[in-house]
Amino acid sequence: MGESVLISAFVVIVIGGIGSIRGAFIAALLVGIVDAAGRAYLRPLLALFMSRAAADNAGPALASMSIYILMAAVLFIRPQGLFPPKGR
Amino acid sequence: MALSRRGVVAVICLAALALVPVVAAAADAPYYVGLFARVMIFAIAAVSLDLILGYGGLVSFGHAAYLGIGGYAVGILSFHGISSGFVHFAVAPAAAAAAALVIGFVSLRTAGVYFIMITLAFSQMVYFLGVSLNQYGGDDGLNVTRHSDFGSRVDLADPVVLYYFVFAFLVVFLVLGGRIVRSRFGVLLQGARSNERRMIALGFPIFRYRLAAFVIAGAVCGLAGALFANLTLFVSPSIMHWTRSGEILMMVILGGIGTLFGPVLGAAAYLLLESVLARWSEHWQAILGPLLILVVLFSKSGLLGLIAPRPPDG
Repeated sequence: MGESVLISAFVVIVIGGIGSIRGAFIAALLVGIVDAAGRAYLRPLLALFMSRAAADNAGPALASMSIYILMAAVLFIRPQGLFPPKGR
Repeated sequence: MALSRRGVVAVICLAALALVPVVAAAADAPYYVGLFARVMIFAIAAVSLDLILGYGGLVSFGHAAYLGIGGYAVGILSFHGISSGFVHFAVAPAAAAAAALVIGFVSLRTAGVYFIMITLAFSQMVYFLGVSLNQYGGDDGLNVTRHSDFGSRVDLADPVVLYYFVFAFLVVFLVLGGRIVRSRFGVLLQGARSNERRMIALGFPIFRYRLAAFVIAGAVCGLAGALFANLTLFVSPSIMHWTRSGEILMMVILGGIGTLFGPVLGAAAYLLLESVLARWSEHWQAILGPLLILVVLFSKSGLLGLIAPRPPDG
């Protein structure tokens, strides 16, 4: 029941920085674009340098993983998220 | 050494678990052997989570990933015709430990909610990796054709033998866990939970200690995954879905955070309630949810705290 939305909302908040409304807004756009772009372009992109079958297999998997990879990368570089609220 | 009240509870419960196959055979209800084997496997996973959650203060929300890695290690090895149990039970924890090393190395840089979310992110990556393994069944999962082969004397295809096999792992791990918790390593871990800044000021490299604990917990959960694959003879990405991580977390909270035996009680209570209530109504979670809230509200250390409150001297 709404699990997929729940999880993406968490991802957005964490990438933006917990407690930051501006961060949540920007991260929401970022996550949406990364997810949609991954689903649309990752498979043709992989097909350029992989066999068709391998791309058909890896493309959708990587696309579903993309927002989590984004989150892990952001937290690795900035453990408090992109826009941590000031004064803490 | 006199046993504490909690020690007595643990011994009684373990003795009861040891008798389950005998009673089930007498009552002609072999179904319960499988059910309780499942309980003990999840107990192992929950105890391993409690090692980092209760004693280390690290709320990992991706523990099911190691369960899946352990399960898939057995599944993939036997898919390629390698059925030796010694190989299975070496590769499963090793693969889970390797994954925990990488995940812990990145995640332990963060703290609090960020740590919860980044462990969740990694477990989701492992989940989708499992979904993409088309060669091994992808979304539909993989049938494990044979049990891990430990020679003719330990035949895991016999449910009772498998049951005592799991039981032995649970007992060994509880004893080992008790030693870890009381060792210098365990005390350091608890110190870092209560006052991180002070431990750093005392000169302890707590990152390394936490990483070591994280890897141990991952490896043990990988073992639980290998046992689970042997019990169900089937692995699918659904065993590492994030709701499963939530279930293991719930077992720990239900049983008692920061206690060794609590998670065992929690796993038993959760799975037994599930099996009883599910027979009764498919909306069994509507009853389990309020029960969980009640236990958390009225007992600080879960079911174990209700049965055997902590003595005043700790």
